[in-house]
Order: sequence, then C-alpha cells, then structure tokens
Amino acid sequence: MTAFKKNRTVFFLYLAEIRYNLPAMLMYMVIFMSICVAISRSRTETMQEMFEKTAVPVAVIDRDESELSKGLIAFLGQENKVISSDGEENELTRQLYYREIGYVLTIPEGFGASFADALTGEAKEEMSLEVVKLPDHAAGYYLDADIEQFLSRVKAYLAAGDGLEEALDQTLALREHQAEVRIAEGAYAYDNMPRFTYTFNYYPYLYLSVLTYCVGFVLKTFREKKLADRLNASPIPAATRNLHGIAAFSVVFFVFWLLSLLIPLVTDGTSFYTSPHRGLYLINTVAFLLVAASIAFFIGHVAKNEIAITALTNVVGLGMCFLGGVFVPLDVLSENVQKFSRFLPSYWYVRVCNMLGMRQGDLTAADFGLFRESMLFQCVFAAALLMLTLYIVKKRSENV
Amino acid sequence: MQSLKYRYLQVVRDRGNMFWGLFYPMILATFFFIAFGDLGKDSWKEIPVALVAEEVQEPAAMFVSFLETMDGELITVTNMTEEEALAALSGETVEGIFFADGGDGAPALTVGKSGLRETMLSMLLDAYVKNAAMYRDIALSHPERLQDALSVMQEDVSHIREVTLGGKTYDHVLEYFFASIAMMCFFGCFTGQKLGEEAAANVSRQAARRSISPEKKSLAVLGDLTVGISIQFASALLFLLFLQYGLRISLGGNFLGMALICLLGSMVGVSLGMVVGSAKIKEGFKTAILVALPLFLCFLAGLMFGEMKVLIERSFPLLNRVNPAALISDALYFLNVYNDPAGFRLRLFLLFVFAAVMTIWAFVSLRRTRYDSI
Amino acid sequence: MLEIKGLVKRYGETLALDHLDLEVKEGEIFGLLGPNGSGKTTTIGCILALLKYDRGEIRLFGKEMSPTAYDSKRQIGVVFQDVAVFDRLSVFENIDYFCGLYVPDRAERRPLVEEALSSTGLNEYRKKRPKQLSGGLLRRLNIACGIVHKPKLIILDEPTVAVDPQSRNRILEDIKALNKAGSTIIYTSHYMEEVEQICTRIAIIDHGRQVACGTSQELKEMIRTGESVTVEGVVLTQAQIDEIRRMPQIYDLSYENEELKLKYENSTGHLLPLLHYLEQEGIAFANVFSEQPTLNDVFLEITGKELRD
Repeated sequence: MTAFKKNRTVFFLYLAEIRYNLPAMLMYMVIFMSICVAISRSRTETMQEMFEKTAVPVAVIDRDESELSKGLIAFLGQENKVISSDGEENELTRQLYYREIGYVLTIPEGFGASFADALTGEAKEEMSLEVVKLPDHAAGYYLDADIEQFLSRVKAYLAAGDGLEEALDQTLALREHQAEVRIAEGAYAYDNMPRFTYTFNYYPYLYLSVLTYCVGFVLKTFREKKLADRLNASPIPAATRNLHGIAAFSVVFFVFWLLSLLIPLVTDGTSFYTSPHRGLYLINTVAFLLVAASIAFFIGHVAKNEIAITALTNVVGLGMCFLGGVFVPLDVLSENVQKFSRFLPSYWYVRVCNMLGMRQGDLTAADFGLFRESMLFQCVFAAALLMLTLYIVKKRSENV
Repeated sequence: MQSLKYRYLQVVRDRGNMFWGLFYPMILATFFFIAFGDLGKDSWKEIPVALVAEEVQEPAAMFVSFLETMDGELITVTNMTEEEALAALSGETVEGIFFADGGDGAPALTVGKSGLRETMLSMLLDAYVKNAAMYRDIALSHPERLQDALSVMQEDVSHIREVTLGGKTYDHVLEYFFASIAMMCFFGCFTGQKLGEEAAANVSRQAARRSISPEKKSLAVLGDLTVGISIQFASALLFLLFLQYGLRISLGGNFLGMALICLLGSMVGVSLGMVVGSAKIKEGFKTAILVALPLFLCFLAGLMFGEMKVLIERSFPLLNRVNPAALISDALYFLNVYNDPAGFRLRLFLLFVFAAVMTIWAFVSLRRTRYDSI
Repeated sequence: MLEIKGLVKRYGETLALDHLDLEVKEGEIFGLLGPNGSGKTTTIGCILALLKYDRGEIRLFGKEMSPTAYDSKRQIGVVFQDVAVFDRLSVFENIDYFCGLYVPDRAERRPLVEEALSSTGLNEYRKKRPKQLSGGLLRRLNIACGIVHKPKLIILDEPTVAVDPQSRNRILEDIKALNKAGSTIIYTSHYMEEVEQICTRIAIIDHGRQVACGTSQELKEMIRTGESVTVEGVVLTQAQIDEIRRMPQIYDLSYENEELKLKYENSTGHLLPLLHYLEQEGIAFANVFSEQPTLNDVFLEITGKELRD
C-alpha cells in the first residue's frame, strides 16, 4: 500500500491509457447494454414457454377423416387452439417461422383403420402420426404425451367393450378430472417473477463482455515490447504495477457498474428501486462484477493479440452464460451439463437472482444460506483467478 | 501473380488469426453441442418427491401403491409427515409433495415453483387421476373386461413420429449452429482489416510503398480481396466439415448450398474488415467496431436467444432482410429445415446483393491512390 | 529530370507548401534541407503522386506526374523514414516482393534481388524476419527494398534519423555509390553535416518555400558570415576589446565569461593576425578555434532560425 501511495505514476499512466480508449469502451458498453435491454424486454414471456404447459396453437392435417381422427382433434381442441390445415408446406413454414403455430400434426389416411385393426390383433403394424415441433419449446413434448395418453385410453375403453363413439366420448369426458396442484406459500413461482429479475439474469454476459474487451485492449498497449521493457526497467516491481493497473480499472468498473444499474429503469421502470430485495440484488451484481473483472484480467494478460482476446471473450462469455443458465434455463439443460454448471460462477449468480425473483414472501434461512454460498463461491473464484493472473505476470516479467 | 503469392503467404503466416479463425467457431460449436446435444432426449434424473400418506384408506391407498410402482423410474419417493415435507420442499431436497389424500380422498400435489420437473410431476398426477377415473368407469360398465383394459394401458406403443416439414430429419440444435456459422463468416473481418491497412497508403507505410509502385491499384485491391475471401472461405469449409463429421450434426445433405452461403458470408466479413481497416481512425476504435458490430448483428439474428429474429420479423422485418447475419442464418434455415426453395433463393439473392455491395465498397474506398494527407 | 513549379498544398487551414519551386538535374545528388515541419515530406508525397496538391505542376522525366504514370513510377525508388517492410515476410521475400512490383519477370528479377542483398550486406540474414533484425539491419532492409530495381531516381526521406554513426556512414557511402552507378538522388534531411557531405546541390526550404538553392559553396557565399573565431579563457580589458573590434572584416564581436567570439566577413585568413595581436599584448588564453560557415549559418541568416530545434 505504501508503495502505491509513494508513487502513483503508473496508476495515472493506466488512467491515461483508459481515457484514450474511452470511446471504444463506451461503444462496447452501449452495445452490450442494448443487447441486455432487448433480451430482457422480450424474454420475459418466452422464458416460461420453455417448460410450461402452455396452450399451443396446433395445425392439424387430417387426411384420415375418420371418427378417431375427429375425436383426436376434439381432444386437442380442449386445451389448445386447433387450426385445420391443408398441409401446404410453404404456408406451414411461414406459420412455424412466425410462431403462429407451434405444432403440426398430420393424421395419415387409414390411421383410424389401422388403430382398430391393431386392437383386434390382426397383426398389422400400426400407423404413426407425423408431428413437427418447434425447438426449445417443451410444450411440443407435452402435447406428444397428451396424444399418446389419449390414444391409449381410447384403446382401453375399446378393449373394455365400448364402441368407438362411446370410447371417444368417455375419453373426452375425462377432462373433468383434473389434478390438484398447488404452489406452496412463500414458494417460488416463475410466473410472478418481476421483469427486472430477467434483466439481472443477463448481467453475467454484459459484465464479462464489456470488462474483458476493455481490459484486453488497454493491456495490449502495455504489453508492447518497448513500453513493457521500459516499465520493467523501472524501480516499481511488476506486482505493484499491476496493482496500480487494477486500481485504475476499478475506477472504470465502478462507473460502469453504476451505469448498469440504470438498465432496470429502462426495462421495468422504477419497480426495482423500490423492491424489498434490491440490496441483495446489488450485492450479487458486485460479486459477479469481481468475477468478471478477474476473468477480464486473466484473458487480458494471457491473450497475445486482439483476435485471441475476441475469441476467448466470446468463448468464455457465451460458454459460461449458456452453461450457467443465463440464456437458457437450467432445467432445460441435460443432467451432465448441470453437474458441470455448478462450477461456474454464472450458475451461482443466476440461482441467487432467480431465488430473489421467485420468492414470494420473506427470505427463509435456506435462502440466506444459498445467498451466502453463492457469494462465497463467486468471491473465491474471483480471488483465485486474480492470484493466478498475478502469478503469471510475475513469472513472465522474470523470464524476459 | 507473384505479388498475390506473397499476399497469401502474409495472411497464412499470421498464426494467431489463422488459428482463432478456424478454432474459435469450432470451440463455440462444440460448446453448443455439449449444452444442447441432449435436449429433448429422455435422460431425466429421477425427481425426488415426498409422500404424505398418514393413515390413508381407499381410494387414497391406491395412489400410494401407484407411486410405489413409479418409485425408481421417474421419481424417488420418501415418506414424510406434512411438516417434514414442507420443510424439505423449502430446502429443495424434494421437488414436490404428493398428498395421498388432499381432501375428498383425491390425491394432490404441492410444488415449490413452476418449472420443467414440476410440470412433469403435475402431468404424472394428472395422468393418474384421469386413468383412475377411467378405470372406475370401466369397472362400473364392463367389470369383466377391466383386465383387458389394464393390459392395453400397460402396452408401450408409440403412435408418434417426429418429422420435419417435407419429411427430413431435423435436429433442433441446428439453429444455434447456424448463428455460429454466421459468426465465423464475420470473423474474417480481422483478416480483412489487416489487408485493408496494408492497402491504404494513408494508414500504413507498407501501403504507401505499394502505392508508389507501378502496380495498378485496382488490381492490387482485387488481389487482396481474393486472398482474404478465399482463405476465409477455406476456413468456413473446414468448419462445415467439422460440424458434419466431427460433431456429427446432420446438415441435411445440402453441403453445396451451405458452401455457397459461406462464400457469400465470407465476402461480407472480409470486405467489412477491409473497409474498416482502410479508414483513418484510431486502431482501438477499429477493433471495437469489428468486434462489437458483428456480435450485435448476430445477436439480432438470434445467436443468444432464438426468439430475437422472430420478434424482429414481426415488428420490423426489413431489418432481417438487411442484416447479413440474419440473412446467413435464415438462408441456412430455409435450406435445411424449411423445405422452401423459393425462400432460400430469396435469402441467397439478398445475401449476394449485400456481399456485392460490401465488396464494391471496399474496392472503391481502397482504389484511391491520392490522399489529402498521409 | 524533376521540375516543380509553384506547388501549393494546404492541410486544412495550414499552408504546408507555399508556391514551392524546385529543379533536380539528372545525375546529381540533390539535397532538400529544412527544419521539421518545413514541408520536406509533403514535397516528397506530392512528387510521388501520393498526396493531392492544390496548385502547381510537377514534371518528372519530362512528363506530368500522376498516380497512373506507371512508366515514371517504374523509374523511382523510395526509402521512407519509417521502416516500411512486411513483418511476416523474410528479408529475401520482402525484397523479392517489392522488386516484383517493378520487375514482373522472374528471370530478370532474381539477379537484382541477389545484388541488393549483397550490396546491403544482408545476404546472411535472408531468411530472417524483420522482427529478428537489429535497428541498423532493418534500415538496410528498408533501403534494399527501395533500390533493388535500380531506379533512375532514388528519393530518400530522412534515412539516417535514429541511426548509429557506423550505419549512418555506411548509408552515406552507399548513396554515393548508387549515384556513381547512374542514379539521381534526392536526399531530404535536417542534418546539415550529411547534406554538406554528399549533396552536389542543395535547396533550403522553410515554411513550404524555397529560400535558397545552390552548391554548398554557393550557399555559403550568399551570406555575410565568413570565418568565425572563438577564443576561450581569455581576459581582456575594454580597450583591448575596442582594439580588436577595429580589426578588418570583423562584423560581429561578443565577449562573455572569458570567451571572445568573432565573426568575419570573409571566409579565410583571420586567425593569424588575431593570434599575432594577442601575443603582442601578452594576453593569455586557453583555447582558440576557427570555424567555417555552416549551412546552419546560412539558414540562420536567411530565416532567423536554427536548422535544428
């Protein structure tokens, strides 16, 4: 600390260099913040679509026109909007592309007949229904399950001796029997998650991208051989110089952090600033800011040129965000991936955000536990990476 | 000719650029593959649930035995009291509480939040409730055939086959890969930047040397463009091969079409780089533009979140016709997924127009041989 | 060979070249001398058709110079002040590449490249990359790339800035050799010693204008100052000073801190009478030396400024 106080030249040197790069940095900030705003404004609803059992507009192409097919269509119509289609591909393409429909069902000719035959054991192969689903929408898979169950139940009624018409009627009537599902009080609910939570969920990508590019491009100047030699020849040791650098950047990062807190204003008005958990949200963002800063320094020192910086930033940024549940809810990722995600700071950040967003009432002890765990992980990660970076720098300056 | 050879050498010897130009998209694609490769495949971990079933009688007891049969398949069941169960739910050690008797003898489910697995639990309960009602019906009307009905229900027959429009097999993950192909084409802008700098006499001394030589400027620029585009295109082809044979993602057998798209995309990326490289602005700013702009365009084309492109299509479709990243992504989509040759041709044409415009712009801005100041 | 008439160039509000006239004859080593910012590099840029200019005429090899005057360009070789080579090509490849822009035929080019390599002493470094070369070698590479095609006109823009004395001498020798082999040389610099050393004719420019032109001798005769004599460590009375002042052809005298400086109108033969006088008066002194007028003096007298800042 005393070394810092005695000679702050390097600190100001870094600041000057930062100032020189300011227009570029601002450009990054603006672009990535706009991306953040755009995503969170539009993502709110679609996030739930990923796993909720929502009503899906279904296009049905009925080539069979049997009693069974009509019964199936009636069944679908109970919970979903059914659009009858003639199967014209271009039109269907257009509808799918614009998400006007989410599911296309083709009932082939002879389906009803083959269904009945299979039951009587005439050993014919059953025909299949053809289905086109939209990606990343679980609703399609739920519909699959619904259809399968419908068909099975019709078969069951038929096996029990009912005629087709009666079997269909009975199956359709089963709709009255609904499962009773409650959400526990004070529990989580995605539906009630405030919009700004979605906004905050994207901060890892924002912070990682902006900080890494800013640090990377400024550090590049300092690594140019002539300047690096001159600095190495100075009486200020490498570690101290880097601390100066870190201090200079901290100024920038702090300002950027303040700016980033304005984003909820754009996406969700003033509701964040009056919400009960805002303090915890802020602490969470600070924790990830530290993580992003440590990654930024690491890449800034390890990458040899701008292209490497770009590539690494994108890979780390996008990778950490996809696998950590920032762009895609964690539930949707596979088992093995989720195991890996636990090692990512972005995962912990998002878990806290979601917890704060979904918790209806006051936080429970378990919630605070999660919060502490998350903070600990993020801070330890940041500290460890920073140590590693300083070590690498020290080794590098020794091996001139 | 020989000057072309030396220009090739210079680009290829830039190891950093070559390495990242090739490997960065591969790494990104591999990430996507790992993250999304298992989407939709049924490898769900068992969901832990609590069962509150104190002193139950029929019909609740039937539900208990039903859950016992499911235990170890979709779910793992632990018997608890209500208080224990709620605490476990809060602490996230179970993801749902099944009450054998939720009132009126019917079972009920309590969950902690709405999510994928919770929805699956509710579907499980729903299936049970409906099936139970069905069996009751049959027991009343045709009790002697109940066994037949039961055995039908136990059959594991699938009536559904997933296809694409036009019947081709479709891997959902492809959308994200399309966007990564677009990113890769844009990465060529770094090669273009270097080439542009070395052709603009007011930017670099080497370019000044070239300018004062008897080498025709327009030929020189054309040569540079050729070098950059061909190298970027080669990288793109390697990437496509990597996707097809390395990650084994079905590209739908349209390799030629995809190669064409990559060629046009490379033209866009490289010429963009050349235009920016030859501009007289700060180095840092140049890089900022070449990094942030493609990323932004790819974001608008749905790289980070697929819905973006759709949203723009709904509200401001012109943007999607002008955004080269969207054009590339769309063209790929139309080629592989939607069996719509007309749509594909349109996108391809627009992409061609865009690429041509960028290339001509690069050519024109570099052709200049006299400057106001160097 | 080269004629510049009334060249005017503005950078925005600043007038860089102000009706500049220049003439370079075939076979000479023509020096362009002036302080930083006088317009030397701008002039070179205009000659090479790299820069636009507002008014004036540039004729090279009897033809008007333009970016498409390829025949003229073929005859020019340039060595810039900044090293202008490609980092990712080796020494040999750099020279071959730049030569190839002038001499497309491979068979014709090969011997030229080899000769450039040997004449600049770079033969043993042919496979090395620019980054691996020392500053002096890099400069030599820079020169090799500019002269490999044996051009009729070679323009060197401040080639010895930041160069060690050994390399500098070598460069100057090389230039003389090139001139002997038949090339006309235009040499810009703000180092008057070099210009004096090798140039046959010199133009002095300031603020984009030619202020004087001629051989070194002619230039010096233009000014009043001839020989300057300095006596150090001498103690003089006022009477003695007045007496010295009355000596013939002294037009300036200053005496400060025991140092006497005299400026004579004529260039020779003043030292002896002075020494004679000092001896006569029994005046002791520590040092005495005499200097001939330099180009700096020429510049100083004409413009009122020093050549070097």
